[in-house]
Amino acid sequence: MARKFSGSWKRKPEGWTLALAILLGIAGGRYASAQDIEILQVQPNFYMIAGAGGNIGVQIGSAGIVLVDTGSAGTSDKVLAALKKISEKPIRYIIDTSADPDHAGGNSALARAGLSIISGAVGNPAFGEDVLGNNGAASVLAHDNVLSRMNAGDSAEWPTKTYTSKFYKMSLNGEGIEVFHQPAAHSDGDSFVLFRRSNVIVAGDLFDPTRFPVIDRDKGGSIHGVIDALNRLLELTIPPYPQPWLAERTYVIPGHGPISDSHDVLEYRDMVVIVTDIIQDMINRGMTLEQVQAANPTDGYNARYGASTGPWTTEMFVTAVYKGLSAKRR
Amino acid sequence: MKTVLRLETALTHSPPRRGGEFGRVLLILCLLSLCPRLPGFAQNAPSAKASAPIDLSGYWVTIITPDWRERMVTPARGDYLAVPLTAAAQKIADAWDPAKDEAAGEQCRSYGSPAINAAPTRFHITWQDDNTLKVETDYGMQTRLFHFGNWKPPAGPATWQGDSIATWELTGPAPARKSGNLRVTTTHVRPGYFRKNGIPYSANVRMIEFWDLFTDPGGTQRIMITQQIEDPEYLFRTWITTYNFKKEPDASKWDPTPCSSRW
Repeated sequence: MARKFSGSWKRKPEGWTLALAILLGIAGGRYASAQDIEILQVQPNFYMIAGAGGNIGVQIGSAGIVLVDTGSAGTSDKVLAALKKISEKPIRYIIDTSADPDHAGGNSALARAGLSIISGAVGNPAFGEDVLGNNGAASVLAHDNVLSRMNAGDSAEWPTKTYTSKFYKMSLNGEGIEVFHQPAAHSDGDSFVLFRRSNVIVAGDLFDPTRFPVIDRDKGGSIHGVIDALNRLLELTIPPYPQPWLAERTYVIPGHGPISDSHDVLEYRDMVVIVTDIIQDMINRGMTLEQVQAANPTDGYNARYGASTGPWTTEMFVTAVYKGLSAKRR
Repeated sequence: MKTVLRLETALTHSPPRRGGEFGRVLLILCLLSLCPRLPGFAQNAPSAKASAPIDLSGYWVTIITPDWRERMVTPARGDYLAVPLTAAAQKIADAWDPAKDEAAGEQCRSYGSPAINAAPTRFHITWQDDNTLKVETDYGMQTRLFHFGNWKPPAGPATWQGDSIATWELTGPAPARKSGNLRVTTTHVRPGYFRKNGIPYSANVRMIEFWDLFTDPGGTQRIMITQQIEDPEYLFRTWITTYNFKKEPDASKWDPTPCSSRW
């Protein structure tokens, strides 16, 4: 039966509609993989692995594989099996977008399955920490706050290299890679990663169109940081104009959910700003959190982004925004 | 009659004379209304097919990039973002139940003309006759008829595709005016859904479409449809959207599938 869908974004048509094929990676090839893992081709040298926790970005080039995020612990074998389907090259570098276990849970297993960017250089002082910091395994880069947040956990999962500035830049596999820190957004250690030549941004949970933004206030997250991050994403994301029917555009791999583009980020940013303004207005009018919850400030967006159960409910989102805005006011 | 006399006065720059008035009026009436009905005159009026500034015939496939989550998968109940729905329409959308539509045999509710251009479909466009352009879809196997000329809608119940009156909007330097676009106005549509998840339009919906044909820098022929939808019951403002189609070389990908309430 053609065009059979039943609600999940992962279910695909039969490869007949060009644009969706591009957005979902069908045009370039889609690979059946181990159980729940899906491999979606974003660009000729760029893939998204879905189903291992958070989405994983995969850049492939002459030097090997660069991963953005490693998924949840326990999914690494499946991820490695999926990677084998698209490249025999080793994992050379890993970049974490956050400390969340569904994004950085596979750090140790995938790094150990990889190789230092300069194989055989372990112990040679002529090489810097970038290539030697993980005892011959692939390096793991993250913002310094990610390391701080992971300190209580298994040290094998920690990043092997951190950065503390607004951004970190490197060149690998023939393209410039820029890692941008977005402070106080989803948490205080979030990064998104721009692959210049591939024209792909891996956004982590700074952009998650499957739900309202997850704001981890205990780890330094804030609604204004989320909005700043989405605005930054929009600045870097190039739309398909003047030929919107073509595939040329910046693709955004979200923390969860489908491959997106500037329209999707714009729509999401607008939603976040509108809901924030509504809640701010309610706060300005002296409404309590309970009154705000009862007033349903996310009305109109609940069907798409809301949840009444699970790890991040609409009520939790409204609470996080309310508390953040109220604290700022005081 | 007064209008005709004023026109004649303006043309001649002289006051009408009683004696010659009847003959001149007769002549103008003939020119304005009678002569086109005479044999020979009618033969010179080109048909819509003959006067078409663009050739829309062939097989076309939609290119879905914007809003694909609403167009390629069935959105969740209550997800009507970006549709200017009235509160009454939102209530209806919130109560959407595909099982009810199936039980009522109304699986084609989301396949009506106000929805079909956004659908994941192919078009097969042909001339049914010299003044009727036929647009068939493989998605839901629907047929739209664009009527040119003095076509009068037949009496009868509204249909999913409604009554469509078409004109060529000619552009380019006069008198040739060899370029242009198709304009289609559709009314008398049976109430249905803008999207699969039960976002309603009423029997009062009115849609104006502008079909433009162009060739992109890669040499591919494309149709861009700009549609304006008004529905005084369920839309609080005019809803304007555009849709793109790409020409296909043949019918090899034509894949007729029946209507479905769920997908």
